[in-house]
Amino acid sequence: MSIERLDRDQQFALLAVLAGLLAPHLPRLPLWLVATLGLLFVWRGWLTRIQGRMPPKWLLLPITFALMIGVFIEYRTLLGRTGGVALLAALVGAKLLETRARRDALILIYLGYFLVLTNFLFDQTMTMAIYLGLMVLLITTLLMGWHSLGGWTGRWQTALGQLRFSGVLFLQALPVMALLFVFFPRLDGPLWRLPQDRGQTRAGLADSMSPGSFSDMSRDDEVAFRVSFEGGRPDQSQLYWRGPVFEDYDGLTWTQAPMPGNAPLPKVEPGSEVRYSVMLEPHQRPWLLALDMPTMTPTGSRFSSHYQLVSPRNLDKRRRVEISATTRFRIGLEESPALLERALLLPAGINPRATAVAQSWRPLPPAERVNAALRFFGAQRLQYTLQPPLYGQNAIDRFVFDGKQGFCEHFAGAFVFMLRVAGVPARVVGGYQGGEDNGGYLIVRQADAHAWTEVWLEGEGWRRVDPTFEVAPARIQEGLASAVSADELPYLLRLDNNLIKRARLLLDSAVNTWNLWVVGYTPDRQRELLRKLGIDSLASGTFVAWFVGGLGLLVALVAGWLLWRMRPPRVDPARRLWDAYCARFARDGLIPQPAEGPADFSRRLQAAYPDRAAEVAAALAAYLATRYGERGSITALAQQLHSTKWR
Amino acid sequence: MMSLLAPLRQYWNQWLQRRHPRGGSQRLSQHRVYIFLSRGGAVFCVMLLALLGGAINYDLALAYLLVFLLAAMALVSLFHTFRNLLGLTLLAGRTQPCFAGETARFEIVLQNDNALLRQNLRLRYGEMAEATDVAAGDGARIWLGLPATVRGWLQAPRLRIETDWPLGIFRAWSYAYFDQRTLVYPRPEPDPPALPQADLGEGEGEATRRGQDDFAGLRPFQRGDSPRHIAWKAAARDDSLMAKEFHGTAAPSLWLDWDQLDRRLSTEAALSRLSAWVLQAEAEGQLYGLRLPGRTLPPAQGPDHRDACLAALALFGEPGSGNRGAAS
Repeated sequence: MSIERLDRDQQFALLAVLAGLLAPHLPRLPLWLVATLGLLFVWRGWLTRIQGRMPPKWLLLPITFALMIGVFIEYRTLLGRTGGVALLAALVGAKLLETRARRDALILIYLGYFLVLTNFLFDQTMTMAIYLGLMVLLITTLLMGWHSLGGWTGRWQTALGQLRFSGVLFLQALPVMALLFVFFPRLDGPLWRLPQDRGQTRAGLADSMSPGSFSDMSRDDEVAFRVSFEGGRPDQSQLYWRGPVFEDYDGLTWTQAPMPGNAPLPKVEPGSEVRYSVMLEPHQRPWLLALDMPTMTPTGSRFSSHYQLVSPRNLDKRRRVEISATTRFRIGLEESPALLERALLLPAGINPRATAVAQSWRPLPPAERVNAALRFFGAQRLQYTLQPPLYGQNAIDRFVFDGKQGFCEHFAGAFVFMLRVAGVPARVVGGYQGGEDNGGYLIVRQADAHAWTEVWLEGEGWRRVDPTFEVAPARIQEGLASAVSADELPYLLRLDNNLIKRARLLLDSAVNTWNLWVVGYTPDRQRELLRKLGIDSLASGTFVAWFVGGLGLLVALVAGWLLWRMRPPRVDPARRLWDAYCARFARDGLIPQPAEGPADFSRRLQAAYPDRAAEVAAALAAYLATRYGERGSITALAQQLHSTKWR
Repeated sequence: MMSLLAPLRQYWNQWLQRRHPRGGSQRLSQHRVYIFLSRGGAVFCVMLLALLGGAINYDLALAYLLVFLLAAMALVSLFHTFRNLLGLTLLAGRTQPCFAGETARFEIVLQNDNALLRQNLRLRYGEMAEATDVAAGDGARIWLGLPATVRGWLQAPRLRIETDWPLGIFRAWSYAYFDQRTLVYPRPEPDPPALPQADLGEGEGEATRRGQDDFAGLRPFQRGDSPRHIAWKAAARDDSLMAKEFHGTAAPSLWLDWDQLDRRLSTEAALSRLSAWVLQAEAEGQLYGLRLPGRTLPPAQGPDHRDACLAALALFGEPGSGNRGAAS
């Protein structure tokens, strides 16, 4: 067998593993590249099957260049998350057809490890981690297969044995991996940044609100963020997570004004402070979705003039923030006149019926106008539903007086519109409301997205008013599922299917732990954890002691265990007796040679001691009978071998 | 450059020989097994660094996890690679002589006393390599070839045993110097002149020899008897092989005599010719003797006699029969 040739089954296995690694990328790659890759894989598989020759260089080089040029035309780059991944996929495809010997296969294997990493660029979920963990196991099995003798063709036992052994390596490596993961110094920030590296847009709150934008999200059970409270947590009806603040209205869409300045933090009444940490899923917007109202600004964030906690950059990856907040607060007592004026602006000549009603409240004092509006909404017998009709022109009139069916964005929009007509500064606040308790932490989903309003009153500042609460109090007190009829919601968001729901919550709990300790293990988290171990800096002696000492200990344990397993196999007792017997003749220069069996040695003994040949033959017979014949005559053998005295 | 390196190389060889004393067997103890990153391992390290760069740049916790997993697996594989050689016993086995220009073969016996399958052990003399697995508590035999260039004794050179199992990231190796040598016969002349005439054995002083003259009876076949003396008719009667024995006072015997060779031949060419003649005489089933300055082998026949003649030719002019050949 030639060592440098690849076994056929191993070649197929390599193709399968590479295909498995490319599979998650396929939806992200352009169609032409997917098709070409498919062709290259099929071509290579066919060549393996017929044991054909690889195509010549003059054919391969143009293919490779064409692929590279194609990728460049598609992405205008060969680097980064998009172009780089496409290029890697193309190179794997081209390299396939150049792989003749082990050395080329090794390059493909190493490229395989790169493909594992590129998948993490897009997906760091637990499922993906498990899938790619298995792939790493398979790649390692292939790597081992190529450093062992023989191939796999027709020998599945061999392949399985190697898979098992690579599993053993995997398990033996886990403690060292965990230690490195915890202690290896993490660096802040990227080494290089490419403009293409921004993440894709995901579902979440937009910075504008038009009819339908919230009701659409309500069918989305994706997690927006998870919150763990330290100590008690506020009542469900107090859980307003603040996102965009919509001030400008063009008759159809509410949009957020830019956030130029910073606002002073609200004062904390003693005993009302809640501390919590929030793990935010990336949503490509700057809001940190703090609980109304934050009492501090975590590092890397600011408190905008709209009383939002915002990050200087859009959240393009999962982020954990520790916040303290209060649910009893006053904000905007001394709001700027310009801002208040803006909170009264309306496009002219729309919604005449609602305008007429609201103008009738003008004589009332401002606080009474708010109550009048709430009473009016109550009296209209509006219906809270996930499937409101489209209202089109003069949407507010047609919602309030004709259709009477709406979701939170309709309620909030109409409410703010009417109060502005009545002369009370008002605005719509977007965010999330509530969340699902999952034993120790709260899951807030896209479906919990909500819009409410704020009105400004002299001497009180901004007051939160939630018109949805007036219509469907259950939405705020118990959550969305109890406020709308069951068949409007996706299966998993309903209240009734408890078993599935419980399993789902259990899974989410695992995901939360995963996010917290694996994916969310950032330089900050590392510093925090190390501080608990008494390590203040990565340059300190304590750190070196923990890191190097721990690593040394683990390595010594692994090495010790492996060497302990090196002990010789147990020697058969009969064999031990025989060896002792043979050793007696060593002083006469008679030593069993490596190639000499008991019978051969016995013959030599018989020749050396002709007068006692019969005795020697009897000893051999006894040994052979014990060792290879019926068992149980060990004592007889011992007697036989010891009975004779030699000189 | 080479002249500068030569003393270093010599020093290195001496150092190795002190660590691995020459003998018939060698157990690979801990201080005799060396281990270092292999070439594939160096590439692996570069790949790890690149992966780490990606992990840092994109702040990917799972990519960090991948890098650490691979690094930890490499680290663990170091011990497996080392263990793959550790405690193995190498024994010098049989040897197979050859003619100069051919390949001499040395047998190495590997003995594994541990409850551990040892995989992909590669033994090599320079470029000549063979690989094998050795099962737990078992042994394996490997024949290693060595190109023989010069007649005489060929001492087994430094044997290198290496393995890069399981992942090819590390390579463990060791050396063994064995008391193992084999004879290299002179290269037979490719187109030798015809054999000299057989004489009738006068002046030899041997009254009676086993010859080919008169049929004297049958005796049991012995190893070394020419097949053409087998009594096939007798063999057909019963199952035993018998050889015909002849008596003769004047069996024609062939003398391959050094002194009667063409004087113009160099020593090696002369030995080459004699070597070729020995083979030819043996193939023709003749009785032949060999006369060399200071050494005479009386006429006889058979593989043992042939080997004795070839050995005499191989060791011609080297009473001490020192280490010659490709030993390094």
